[in-house]
Amino acid sequence: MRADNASMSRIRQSQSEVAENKLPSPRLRGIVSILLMLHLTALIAAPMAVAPSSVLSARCWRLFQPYLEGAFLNHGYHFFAPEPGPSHLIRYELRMADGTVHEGVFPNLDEQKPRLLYHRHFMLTEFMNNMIESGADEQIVTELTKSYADHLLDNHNAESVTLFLRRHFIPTPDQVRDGMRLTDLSLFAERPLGTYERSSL
Amino acid sequence: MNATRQYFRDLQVATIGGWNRFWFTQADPSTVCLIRILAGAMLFYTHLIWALNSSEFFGTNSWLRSETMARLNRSGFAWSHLWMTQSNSSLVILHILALVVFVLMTVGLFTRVTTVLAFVITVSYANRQAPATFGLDQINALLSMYLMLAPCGARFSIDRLLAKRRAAEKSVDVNPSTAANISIRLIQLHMCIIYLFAGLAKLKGPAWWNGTAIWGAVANYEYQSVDLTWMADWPIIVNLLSHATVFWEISYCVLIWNRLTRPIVLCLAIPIHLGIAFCLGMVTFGTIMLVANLAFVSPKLVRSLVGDVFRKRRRNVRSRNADGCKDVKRRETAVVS
Repeated sequence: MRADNASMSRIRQSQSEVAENKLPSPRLRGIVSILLMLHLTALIAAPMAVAPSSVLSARCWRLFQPYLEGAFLNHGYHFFAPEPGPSHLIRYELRMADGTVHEGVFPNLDEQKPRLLYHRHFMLTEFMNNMIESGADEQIVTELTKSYADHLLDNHNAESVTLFLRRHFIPTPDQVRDGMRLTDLSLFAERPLGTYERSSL
Repeated sequence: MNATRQYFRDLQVATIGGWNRFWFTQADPSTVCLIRILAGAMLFYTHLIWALNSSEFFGTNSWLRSETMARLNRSGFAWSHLWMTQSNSSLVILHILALVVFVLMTVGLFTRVTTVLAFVITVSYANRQAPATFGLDQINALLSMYLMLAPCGARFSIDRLLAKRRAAEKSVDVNPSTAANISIRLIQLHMCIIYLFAGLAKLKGPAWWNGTAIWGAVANYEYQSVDLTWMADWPIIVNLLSHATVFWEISYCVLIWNRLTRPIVLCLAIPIHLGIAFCLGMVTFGTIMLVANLAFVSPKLVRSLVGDVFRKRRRNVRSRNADGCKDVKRRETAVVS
């Protein structure tokens, strides 16, 4: 009981210290407190809404969606989660007007420097894979692929381009111990994304 | 019954008191001022790279055209002023203006205005190219958002020098402020949320439980910037790093608030983020995470560290000037003799 009294007197003492520390008016504090609580709830609603999520989380996210998207706070913060997986790249074959075929891959460390620029391209290909994996609307995936294809056609002045999503698997420690390189051809798998003609874009 | 009522009354008093103490006490703005310099420099670099590759990301034949982004952003809430134009000349002007804002923010000139503009620009660029963004842009946006709330030009800034000059030799005190405290608290809580969800999300992956997850990161060729495949011979190290990462991320939001455990948590943040920076090729992301962690460093320590640097530089300039005066005098006497 004496301990309880002591702790309460400590709380009261610290409250009086707070009062001395020029607190804003109670009204202002009230308004700011409500805004802070809403902001913090919104921050938590974003990662909570990443699938699999509850109905409550989904509704909270929908409520805060304008604020979260408007302020670029709509993130799950799932860095290397649920676990680090294979990387995704896009390989392309460009058919030029003279019939020759040029091949390329992005992201490409030799072409995109500095590293931040490379990483921006890497995120573009990872985004493409995420859209496909998450079962996004077929039309949106096609629109995205066309946008990448259009950029490649314009940049290389090509007649048509065929895109492939390339998955680069990670070798196991045993495979590396046995001498396998991280770029071993057996670690790659591809799926076609489509062929786009200059006229069709 | 009385005891229950008393408990709830005490709980109410303690909660309101604690809330007021946490959010509304006044704080020295030194820490937010240091974060302003470092975040401003990172924002400048990030947007310089955007600007130098403008046609790739913002022009008429960019990777993600405005029409494609409009389809992806179906809700329409992710706004961007960069959707208004795709012409190269207008984009060049917008990029230059953005870079000027970030320079002014970093050096602390017109800080109250430039920090607000920095937030608007950061969010706008990120929304325009959302699929090409990653953790770096998320931390850039949150830091610029919270910095605009604080008087982050109060120290280590040109604004401060100008205020001193205007006051003509009188000492200009930097007053502690509630806004500085709210800003730093928001960065702190946001970091706790980030680490907590980063840690919890990892619990869904078997590789973080069987301790092989770090191998998946270091043996990923597209991320790799330093060859760490020698770890294949050291599974115990891979296990240790995997488990330590999860424990550190999940416990961050608890241990960072304790005065005794805070230095340990912050010291562990350094190798973790430097590891991401230099081994996984994300120098910008690793650095900005460390900058955001500075929110837990006391203003007193910041003042003593950064103040020392400023004082030393001032002393060097003064002694150089004094040496210069001596040289001139020596030359004058030589000429006279």
